[in-house]
Amino acid sequence: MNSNLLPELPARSANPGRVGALEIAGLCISRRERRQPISLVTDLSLSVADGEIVGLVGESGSGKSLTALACMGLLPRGVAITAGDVRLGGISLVGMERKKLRVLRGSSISMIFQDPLASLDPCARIGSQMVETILAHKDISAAEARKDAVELLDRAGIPRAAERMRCYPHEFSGGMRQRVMIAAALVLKPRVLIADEPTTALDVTTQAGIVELVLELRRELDMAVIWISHDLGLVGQLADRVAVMYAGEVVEVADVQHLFAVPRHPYTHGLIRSGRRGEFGARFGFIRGSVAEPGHWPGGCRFAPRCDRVLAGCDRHPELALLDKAGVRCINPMTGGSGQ
Amino acid sequence: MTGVIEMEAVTKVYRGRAGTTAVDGISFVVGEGETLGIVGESGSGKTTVARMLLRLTRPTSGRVLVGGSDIWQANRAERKRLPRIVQAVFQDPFASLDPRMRVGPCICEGSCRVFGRKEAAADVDRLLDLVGIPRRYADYYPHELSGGQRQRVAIARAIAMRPTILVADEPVSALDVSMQGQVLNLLTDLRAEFQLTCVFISHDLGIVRQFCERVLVMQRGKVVEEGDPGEIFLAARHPYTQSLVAAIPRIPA
Repeated sequence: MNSNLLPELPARSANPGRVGALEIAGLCISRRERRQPISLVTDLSLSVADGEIVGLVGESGSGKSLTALACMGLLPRGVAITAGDVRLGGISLVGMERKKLRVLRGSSISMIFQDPLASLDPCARIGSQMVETILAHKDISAAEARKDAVELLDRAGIPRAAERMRCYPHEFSGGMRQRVMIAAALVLKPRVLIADEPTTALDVTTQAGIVELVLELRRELDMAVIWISHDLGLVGQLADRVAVMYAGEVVEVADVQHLFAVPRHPYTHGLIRSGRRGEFGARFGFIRGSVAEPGHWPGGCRFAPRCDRVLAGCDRHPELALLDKAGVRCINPMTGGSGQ
Repeated sequence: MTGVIEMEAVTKVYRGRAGTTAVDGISFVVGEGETLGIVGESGSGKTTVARMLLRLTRPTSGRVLVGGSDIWQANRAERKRLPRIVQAVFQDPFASLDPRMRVGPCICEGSCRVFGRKEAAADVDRLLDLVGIPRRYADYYPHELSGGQRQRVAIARAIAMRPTILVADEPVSALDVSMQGQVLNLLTDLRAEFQLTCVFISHDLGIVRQFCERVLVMQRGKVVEEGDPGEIFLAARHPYTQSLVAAIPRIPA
């Protein structure tokens, strides 16, 4: 795959006047294999401004989570960034010393995961876990750190926060646990929050509460948020801008209203159609076939095998091109509204 | 009213220090060829209902009738016949298929005991066609398939028994949105072709509205609302149902 040779696209921001809190430029991630490395993410560029929420959407295996982990410097063993850069407030994180990165992680950039039970230490009270985090970064007394932690738990909607500090993770329900995770991630007021499917395991009503909470905190802290989800409907409710990923690359990026009003890439259109529900007896929308695994991507357009709009030119890999107000990686984009 | 499935004041209390009442005295009837949806949040007791219907969890009290006879009072012969009447598709196709069994044998594992090895094995190709999986996949192992394909195999395995009742417990919640439609359309087609009576369990009221003729809304083991899913979707009466409907993230039309 020679896509890392493609020219870097200028970062498109919904609010061009603002500084990019997090900028991902031409990011390539591969997995080392015996014979040759396998590309997992190719030439991914995305920027998030302070106070902006960007949704990152795509099917499982599209590289969303890897992109997030790369930003955190937490890629698993054998997987590495091979090209491109991730800048946090203008400072490059790629190749940064581990010690320095540790300081930034938590204080400037934070992440919440799908399964809060796996991210919390089951043997430690949540209070001590949060205080530990604060003390690792801030030079304050344990009592002050405790006060900060209680305040944030309270802010995150945990009732009787001071008392609940003494509870263990298993004593919380799934939704409350995710609130604890959010409180723990935001305890140092980071500039960037990456949320990787934080509500997928939760009930819809609980999910609505978490979404509300993140929207509130974003306003309050002017945080930049990347919200990863496979649920376009959810992202539509909370993001300002959406990037749609397919097979390791961004295929469409646009403001949220624009994306839903005029989806340009056939994949985006298929996702929207799949998520729409109708009356009893109506056929369910879907995208035929399934995502090709990394290492088996077609040389041309990676979506072509599942696409209904294939042209002869689709055997060449398309570039992300500007179309109206959207970035679209397709040579035969959709023209009308999403109803077609 | 009599139906193919009848639950009469069924209660399930799981033993423990406090004793959790998972299902609290619920009654419902499913008519022949009807699809009943059961929605509710996690912990509302939907899966326990399915398990009692499949004879996997014994009710603490009440009766579960399939075709007029109580499956929990069944004699040996009746118990043996039950899998030919009721079949199930579960949520996680990664957990419900034996990882060491190839797709073909997996599909006819149950049916070859009923219809004989020869007939059941001959049926595999037809079943694979039916669920839209290439015939050569019969020699594959489950790990070689995608989530959607695995769920199709699980469906083929259920249909192989030629059941009249299909219980589907969150059959698409583990799948990508783009795959859910494929599997749901397949279930819709099979339901029509074999005139199946279905119990469809889901947390997604949107899917239930499109797939089911009638819906029960469960909360803490009790049925709080029952009716036409389309009507409930537009005008839910119970506050719990209203909160469920309001919380569904919707794609702008």
